[in-house]
Amino acid sequence: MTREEEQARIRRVLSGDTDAFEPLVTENQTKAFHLACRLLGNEADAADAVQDAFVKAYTSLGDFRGDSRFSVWLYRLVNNVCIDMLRRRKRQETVPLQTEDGDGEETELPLPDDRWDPAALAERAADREAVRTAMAALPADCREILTLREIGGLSYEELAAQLGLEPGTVKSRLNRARKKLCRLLLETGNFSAPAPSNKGKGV
Amino acid sequence: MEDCRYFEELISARLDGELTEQEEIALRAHLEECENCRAYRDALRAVTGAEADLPAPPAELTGRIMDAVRREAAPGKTEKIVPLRRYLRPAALAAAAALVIWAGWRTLGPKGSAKTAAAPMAPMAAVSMAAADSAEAEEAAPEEAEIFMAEAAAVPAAGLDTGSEANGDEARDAQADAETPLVTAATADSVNAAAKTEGGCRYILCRGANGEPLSEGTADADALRALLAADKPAEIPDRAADYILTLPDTGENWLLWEEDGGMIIREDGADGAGRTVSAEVFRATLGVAE
Repeated sequence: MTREEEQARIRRVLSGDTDAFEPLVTENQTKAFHLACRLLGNEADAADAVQDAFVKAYTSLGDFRGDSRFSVWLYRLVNNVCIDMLRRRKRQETVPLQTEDGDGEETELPLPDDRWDPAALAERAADREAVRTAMAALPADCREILTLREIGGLSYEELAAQLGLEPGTVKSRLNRARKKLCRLLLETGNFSAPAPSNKGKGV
Repeated sequence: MEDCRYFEELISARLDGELTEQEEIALRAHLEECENCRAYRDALRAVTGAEADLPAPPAELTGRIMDAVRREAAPGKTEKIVPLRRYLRPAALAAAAALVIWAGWRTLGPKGSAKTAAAPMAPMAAVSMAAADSAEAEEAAPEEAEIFMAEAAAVPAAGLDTGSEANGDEARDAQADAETPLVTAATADSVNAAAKTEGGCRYILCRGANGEPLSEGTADADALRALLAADKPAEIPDRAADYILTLPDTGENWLLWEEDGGMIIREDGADGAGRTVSAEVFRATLGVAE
């Protein structure tokens, strides 16, 4: 639906027509679901997260100001719901490759020049579980901007507005997120998931 | 290399189609010379494809979401109003008195005139009076009386009389077309938080002919009396009431219509003109937020 249609529909919902909310659900649920899948790694949790996000969107629809599209606002809610779920979940320990100071600017650890291995990366990226693990290990702001960009499809301008960032920060944070993701994928690819049978093996 | 960090950002931005022409030209020139950056470009390309392989959502997801949304929208969702099923009592008292009160509301015609059917109500009133003497009535705590009223409000939804549903639809359509109402369910919680005063007058505010509870609480008795005794006459609008204000302590029902930014009120069972109260006074007296 167009922006105008969307706004008209939202007004109807706010004046008491609950059924008018349904097209907003059907139009946006797939991308929202993909977002949640990417963040949470399994479809059952993703469905729960999407349901919670839509209910939150409904109950706080009066807060939606209409500056952006409904989808942009919804993805933010999905992201927040997923982050809450992840916090409650037990997370795999991964060694952070970089430290960040208060600004979010990183002090990079020196890495060998042959750090970019596109072939290996392509292989790792095809493993959905590996992607989920790596995404889970990203700092929250990196994970958020990356999923909003790649799955939510938000433009840099929309990201800047939605996240309250300078355009330059959007650019640099996305690059930083992708770089970290590459490193995490390569790093975790070197050992398999914790398997007791490997313990006795020699080096 | 310092340069490469700048170009790496361009490589990332190019994936998103966000390069200017000058940046595109500069990047291409750099990529011709820098093997690391070419590797970086290929690496990002490899990683960016990862989201392509995502499953479709389950077929029943829409249904689940709309069910959850409707639960949020349903009557009885505010904190203080207890869900109907918890207080379903087979006791004759509940059924009889509920019918009495519901029958009183049900006499709201589409013209907005509240005709009280005094005669038919009398036998039911007798029943409820008799039942009121029973031990069950004596055991009923004040909170239960409020909840009981909410239960009565929910009774029309059970479809006891098909005639009232037609009126309810009209009222709902009228409301949907009207301006944003003064009171929405979303503000009910703030009302409940605000309005508990000692020795105040309890009230329940419901929406229109279908009796959907919006809020309840306790208002300052003097302010409420002053509100209801407002003396600016006003013609009753040509539609069913927008709200019903019930005072459980006295058994009064007041009908309210939103009109021109104010409220027109008239006691249920009365005839003739209503009286205007200002929206601010109404909100302030009942502690209703904007």
